[in-house]
Amino acid sequence: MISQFFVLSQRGDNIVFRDYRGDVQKGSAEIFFRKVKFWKEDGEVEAPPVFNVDGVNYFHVKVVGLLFVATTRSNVSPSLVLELLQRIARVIKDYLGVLNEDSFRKNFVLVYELLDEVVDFGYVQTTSTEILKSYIFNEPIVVDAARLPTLGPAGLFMQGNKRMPGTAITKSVVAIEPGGRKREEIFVDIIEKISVTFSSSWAVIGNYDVPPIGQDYSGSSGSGAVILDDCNFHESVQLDSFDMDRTLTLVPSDGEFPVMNYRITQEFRPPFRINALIEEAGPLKAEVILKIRAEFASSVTANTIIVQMPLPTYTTRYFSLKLISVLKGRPTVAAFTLFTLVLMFSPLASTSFFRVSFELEPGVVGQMTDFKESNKRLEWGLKKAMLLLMGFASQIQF
Amino acid sequence: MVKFNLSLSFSRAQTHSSVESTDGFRNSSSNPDFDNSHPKPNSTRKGEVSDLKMQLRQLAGSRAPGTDDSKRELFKKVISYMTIGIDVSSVFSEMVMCSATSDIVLKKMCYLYVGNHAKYNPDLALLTINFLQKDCKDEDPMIRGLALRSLCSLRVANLVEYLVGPLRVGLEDGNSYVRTVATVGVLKLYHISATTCVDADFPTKLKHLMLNDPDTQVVANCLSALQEIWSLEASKSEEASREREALLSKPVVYYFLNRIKEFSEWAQCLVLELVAKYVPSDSNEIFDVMNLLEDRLQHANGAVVLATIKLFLQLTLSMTDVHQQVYERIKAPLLTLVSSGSPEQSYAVLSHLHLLVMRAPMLFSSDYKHFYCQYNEPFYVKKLKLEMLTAVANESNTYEIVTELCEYAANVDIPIARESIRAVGKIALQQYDVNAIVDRLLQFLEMEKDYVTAETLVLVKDLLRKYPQWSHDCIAVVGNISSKNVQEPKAKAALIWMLGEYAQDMQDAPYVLESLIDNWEDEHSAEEWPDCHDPYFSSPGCDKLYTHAQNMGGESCRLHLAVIRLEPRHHAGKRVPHSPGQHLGLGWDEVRLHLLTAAMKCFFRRPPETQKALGDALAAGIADFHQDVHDRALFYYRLLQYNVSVAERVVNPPKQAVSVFADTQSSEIKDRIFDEFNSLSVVYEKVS
Repeated sequence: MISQFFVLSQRGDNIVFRDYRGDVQKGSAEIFFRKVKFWKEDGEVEAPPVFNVDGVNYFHVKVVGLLFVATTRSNVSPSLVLELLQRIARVIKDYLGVLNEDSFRKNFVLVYELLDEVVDFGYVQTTSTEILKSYIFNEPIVVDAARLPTLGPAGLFMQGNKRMPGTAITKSVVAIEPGGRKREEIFVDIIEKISVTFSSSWAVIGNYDVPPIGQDYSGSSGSGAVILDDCNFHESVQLDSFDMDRTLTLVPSDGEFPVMNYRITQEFRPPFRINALIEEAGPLKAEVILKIRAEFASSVTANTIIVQMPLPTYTTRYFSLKLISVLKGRPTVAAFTLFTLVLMFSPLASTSFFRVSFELEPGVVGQMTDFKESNKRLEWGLKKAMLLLMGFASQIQF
Repeated sequence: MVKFNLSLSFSRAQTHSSVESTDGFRNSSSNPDFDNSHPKPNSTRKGEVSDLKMQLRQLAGSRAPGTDDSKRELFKKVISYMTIGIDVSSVFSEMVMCSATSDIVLKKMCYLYVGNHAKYNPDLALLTINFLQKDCKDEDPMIRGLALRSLCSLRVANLVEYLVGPLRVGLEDGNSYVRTVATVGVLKLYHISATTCVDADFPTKLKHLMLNDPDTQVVANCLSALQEIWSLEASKSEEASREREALLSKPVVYYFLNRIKEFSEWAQCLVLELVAKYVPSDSNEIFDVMNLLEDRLQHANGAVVLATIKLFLQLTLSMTDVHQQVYERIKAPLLTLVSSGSPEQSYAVLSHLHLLVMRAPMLFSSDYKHFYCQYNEPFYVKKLKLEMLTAVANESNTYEIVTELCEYAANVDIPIARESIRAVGKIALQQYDVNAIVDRLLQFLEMEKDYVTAETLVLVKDLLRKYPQWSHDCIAVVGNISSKNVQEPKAKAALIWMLGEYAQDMQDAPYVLESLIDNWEDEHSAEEWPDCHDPYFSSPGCDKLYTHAQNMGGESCRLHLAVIRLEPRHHAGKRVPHSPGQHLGLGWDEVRLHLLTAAMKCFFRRPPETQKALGDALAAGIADFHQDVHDRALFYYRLLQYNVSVAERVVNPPKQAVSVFADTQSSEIKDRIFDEFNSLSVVYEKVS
């Protein structure tokens, strides 16, 4: 069981604070925030999701930059609490439509209403969006997702955010449509995570590791058997006919939930191949050529591609030099883009400034690059690409 | 070779079916007035709170239309102040006065406020009893439930008499929501006043409900309440401890098991936890339970899966073969959980996986690729994965694992690079493929990165202690490292140890040592003084003296320091644990101790070259302000005076290679942690 639940903003303000059992002191949010912010233990740079300060166990998960925290004095199951925190975040999102600090602050009364029903005296009562509907009386003040500063495609890579930015998923389950009509709609996303290691010469390094994570299962697969290593299902899924004809039956309840998670470890063709070449072009200069080749049929479009490249700490600036070439080769090849970036490095990292100027390749939609100063990471984003060959080069100066 | 991790997530098929078009979204209906509902607490809030008080008072009696809306806004303000920690207890009576309303949103806000403040205003809390009791008899089950929950949440001891009646009625309410609230209410009452709760015979009522109620949430709440009540009562009465045992009796456990699929996922965890404590009578029973629950391993909720795993592991502890089969069976679900969900959830699962890997490394040795780090994982996940890679390394996979780890060593993420190097070293100490690993480690030294060199030196030292036969290759490389490039105390100590130990193989060992001894003062002490690492210099008074002493410099400084050091000892009560560079695990004083010993060892092998350096070291050591350094220098000095060959036998006796390093956790503790599977003990790696 948990004692308290609270949500903190990035600056450490309480957005909601609910004390369920009264056995942990009131100042716990402050103790927690200070501990997380100044975490330095055994050379660790980041506070783990679970830690203990003076007999109080603090659990936290980060969701859209907010800290969802639970405290307890008892020796509970860590997965239970962390799972619960994540689930609370999802339920709140179902009700608010958009989950962010702004929507949270506008709807904190509704959030309190939810928290009252989700947990009582530290024990979980229900986290079903459907069941909770009959207990919730506040109406959400909907934050317009379009007005929000977009995270950009970078949002996709942020931890805990595994999904494509979409418009359909920013609605509250309780809000009424402007016309007073109720919509009945189902959205199904299939999300696969692939992790591949490439050698510098296009080849996939001997072994690769594929733990794709999917949500939902679309029945029998067309050609070729897919062997799942393992899978698990949401509790509403009926598996009666799964062994026979691979169908899942479910009466979907309101809200967002993973229907199925699966994991495959078998040979596959990665959708992209990546190749990097680094040459020292001088004592304070290096040239990086990064090529990415898309290896899927030209009928398929990839939306929102992001390439990130960590740069050395001493990088002071980088700028594009020139567009090297546009290639047309194989019949299916659409275009080939190469950038050259020059990255300036100075051992005196204090005087750093950045200048960005990119020549954009017309065949690609919504191309952008960005240098994240905080973590010295270069990002190259493409909104849409049908290319079979792409490239990206950078020159680094020391 | 350069390595890039390409991680991408792209939607292969976005099936999308809707009754009407989904383009465009709802217009924002946000209330602009409410944008600043969370004011900063630093400005003067007192006036605003009393403003609120006034406004609430005006509204209290009003029956005008729109009153509820204005009340809502005011209540929201009060709650938002409360959230950010502004004291709003002064509006208590106004809040209560305003609570006479049929608006359920207002009621909820009022209940929330009252629940938060009643404890500190017991007198005012009495005001609320009346309307709460009235609401407990409302027609609407929702209002009855809410009122009962708030009534039980007041946490005021002298009001418990008002709780018993409504609770008794609530437990028998026709609506399951009210019963759910009432069952938790009993537990709340127990925590306010245990005797009232027991005297009213509520536990017996809960037990009856638990075994008969059609609503599973009521049943689950009865179970949690009874578990808590009876474990607390067990020390007081024998009956309670019998009752606690009865919860684990066969009929009760079977009753829960047969209904388990009706329960919510969270209540399932509760039941699984209960069953894990049950001792089945024979192996048939064990198999029945496991067959019944096997599909719980496919649940998407990690908490359910882990609770099931714990149950399976506990049940089969005495059946070695089946226990092994359980390991095989749980592997896949655990690995799926690790890669689904948020990094925090993976962390919790990984901690458990780590425990299992330590118990049965062979079992997971072919799954090592699952423990490869992904570039965007947080540090705490990567670190656990590295520990697992270390644990599963064996003859067949060491090459791949070490290759992967070497990639991480060049990572931009320095803490992970360090951890990876340590992992390589640990694998080497496990005696698999040492030959290749030593080569890799020596390559690290050629990377010429300070932190890589530092970590590697420490490892090479440990390797040499275990495999002295490698000394020739290692020393050749280590000898090329300039001691100026080694800054971290731990690494410096390792280097000095090697210089002393292998003085005969390293041509310039005496001269390197000599230059280190020459720098005895200026680098180390200069770094540690300003932070006042020395335990004797932790009081502010001493700081002044210390500055004074430092200004005087030289010998007189030493003298002064000696005086200062003695003084706080008398009244210093408790000694601060000495912590020069403690975050690195080793202080500069350790470096000096190593330096003294190394100088001695070197002297025994190559006396003519080392004599001067040793003399300097002993002199500096004896003059050192640190007690241990001082004592050791004096001890060596007197030992040498007494008899050089005895000194050699003491300081540099023939050594045996270390077979096992002592810092591994004892298996007894590991077993006890294993008994606490699926609890925080596993994450903290400590027994509760």
